Amino acid sequence: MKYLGFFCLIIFLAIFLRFFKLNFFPPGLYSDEAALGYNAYSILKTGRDEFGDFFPLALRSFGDYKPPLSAYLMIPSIFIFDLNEFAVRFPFALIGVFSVILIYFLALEIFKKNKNREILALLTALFLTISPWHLNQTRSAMLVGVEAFFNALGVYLFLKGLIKPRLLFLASLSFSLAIYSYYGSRITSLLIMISLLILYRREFLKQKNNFLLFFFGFAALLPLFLAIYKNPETLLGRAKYVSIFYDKNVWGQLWEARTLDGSGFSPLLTRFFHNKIFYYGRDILKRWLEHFEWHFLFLEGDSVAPFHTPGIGLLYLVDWPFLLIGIYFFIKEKVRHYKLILLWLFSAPLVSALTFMTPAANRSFNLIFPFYFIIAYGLVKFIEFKGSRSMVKLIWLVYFFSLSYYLFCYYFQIPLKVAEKWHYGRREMVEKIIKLQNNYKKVILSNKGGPPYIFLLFYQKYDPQKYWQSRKVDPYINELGWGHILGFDKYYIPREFEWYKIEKSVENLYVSYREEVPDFWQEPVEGKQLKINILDKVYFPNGEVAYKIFDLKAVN
Amino acid sequence: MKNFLLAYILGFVNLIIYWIFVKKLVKNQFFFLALFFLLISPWFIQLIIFGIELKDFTLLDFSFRKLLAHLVRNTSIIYLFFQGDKRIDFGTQETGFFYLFQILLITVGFYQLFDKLSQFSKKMILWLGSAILVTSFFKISQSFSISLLYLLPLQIISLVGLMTILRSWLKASYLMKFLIVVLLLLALYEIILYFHILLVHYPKRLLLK
Repeated sequence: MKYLGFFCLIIFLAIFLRFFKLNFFPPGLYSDEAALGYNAYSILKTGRDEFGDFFPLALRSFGDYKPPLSAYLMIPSIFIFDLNEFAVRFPFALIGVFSVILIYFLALEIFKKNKNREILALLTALFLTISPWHLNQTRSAMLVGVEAFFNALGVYLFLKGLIKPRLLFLASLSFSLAIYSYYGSRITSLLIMISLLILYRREFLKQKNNFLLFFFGFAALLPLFLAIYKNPETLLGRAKYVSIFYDKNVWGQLWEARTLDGSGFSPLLTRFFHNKIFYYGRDILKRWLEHFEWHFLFLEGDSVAPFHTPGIGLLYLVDWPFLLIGIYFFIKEKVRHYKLILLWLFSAPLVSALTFMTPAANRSFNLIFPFYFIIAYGLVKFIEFKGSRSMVKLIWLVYFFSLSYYLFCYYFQIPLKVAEKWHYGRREMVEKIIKLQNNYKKVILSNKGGPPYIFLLFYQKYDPQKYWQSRKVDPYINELGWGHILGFDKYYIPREFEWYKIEKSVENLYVSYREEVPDFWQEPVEGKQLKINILDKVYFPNGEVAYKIFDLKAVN
Repeated sequence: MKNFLLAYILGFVNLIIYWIFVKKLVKNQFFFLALFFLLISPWFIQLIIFGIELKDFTLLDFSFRKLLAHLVRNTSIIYLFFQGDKRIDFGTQETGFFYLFQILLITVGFYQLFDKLSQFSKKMILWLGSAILVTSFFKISQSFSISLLYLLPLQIISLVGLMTILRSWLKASYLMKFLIVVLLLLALYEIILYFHILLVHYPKRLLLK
């Protein structure tokens, strides 16, 4: 390795950027992170998840089924660091660092025949290291970081496996693990594998064993098939509720178009013009293209929290020209590896395009690896063409400022603007409840600001067995697929916390969200005048009230 | 206030400019196809039917942030190919300014421009780039009337793409030929659908307004 020093520096930077104040930033703990963390804790302690399933292959949580690998990856870190934010995020940050190492070696393979292969590999690794998109996803316990890693590892092992066939088994195992990390990968991994098999069919079919070795690795998926057989709900999980086929948007368009045709119009022609195939096809194409819109990639990113970092896109603005140059040369230079990267790029957002919440930074996260191969190549081509020293310096300066600006947005803007979306304040709320709860018969909590039951379990390291005995599950799953836990132990969580409907007693402790309940309230209840007595408040970093903790006092 | 006279003049000027480019780009056998390609394009039809809104050409209170936002909005793929002008007086509400199959044609066209970097390519890129930049200085973004400044160069680039695909027919593999036929069928379907929307849906939408 010619540039070992640079490579080590990049790894050091990757570690620093991913582990610095990991327990405090992003602020709070997102409900999915808490759910995965508590399930990992529960499996560690009892071998069962929060619903009492023994070593589950799909984690039931908030009404949907989450892929299990992320929770299992957390078990060692929870064992070592105990149940807290750092332990939950640690494996994901580590995978983030491993991804940087992996992309380096994958780039060496992709640019094998290029005279600048080492520089290209270093650049690709550096770009991934400082990538806002990658940092956002790997500094929190988000499933897609793991999925993208295993997909990339699968590609790397497949390419290496064409020379050393034993690696093909590991390649398919890696793709299987990607599916266990994120269910969307059932489509993405499949498309990547099809691309690989088509592009490298000659080498792959040279030896008969290759076929067996490659498909043997998929035996790892058998338990998942069994789980699906036992419970078909596992097959779709949340995908069912976010799919465009579940959403009524296209149906609405069809209905509107057919209505505009009117009853006088030939029904056959109406069917010809306004049919599901064209309308769904158009909708999928539109949603797929949205992932390549530059306001999504370079300016605003995902509009949905917690995947949104205010003030910055998913890629740096300076990446834009290099991306275009890179795409041009990837198409022009008809290299098989480049075709693979392009196919990977085009297949990555397909899963996201099948959902109605687009463009989505998490579901299209597989884009990240192909993007950085192309950007690095575009930059090298640009420097080859306009390679003055001052230009190179200027480019690095712009990248340095871009990274600085991103870090400013990440460490200062997120806490001020979107802390609420990260469920900030739940830990402080639980800590305050723990201090007060012994004086009360019931604790009634608002359901807003993130499902409170999971945070009560998480921050108290609540005994899973005690939880199974006392939990009350609301069997109703709403139209977005969300279930609800009505409470456990002395905690009561009504689906809708409407103050005028809530049971009022001086023996209860109440927790409301923001200004759901006024500071001053007094009314007669069962012959007594009761008034609100605010005991404590939790604030967001911007000073706004997050939670009010109060009880009721009788007034003479 | 809609201005139809100006729209007709603009339509005529667009046609002349397009004609000049077509003469350079297209061999005789494709000449009428190229001309037909402009006449059936949604944005050109809309120009003649909808007219243009002069009020939209009010300058922006300049700020870099607004300029960037407008630039992004005006070049949005969704705006150009799926949505068009959201105001009912300037858009059918169901289609963009181009057909969906033109996404592929424009992509191929752009590739050709960069691949064979000639005086023509440079002119086209400069024209398109400056036109898009100019549109970003106006107060209203995603306006049909303003977007007219860069719709013609995009149409010409799309023509470059079409010609490239048609020329590749003889050299194309069977799979590629099959894909080209599918594309042409899709194109035909989309054109018919567009006219259906324009002639059947749009008048009813206007009545419901």
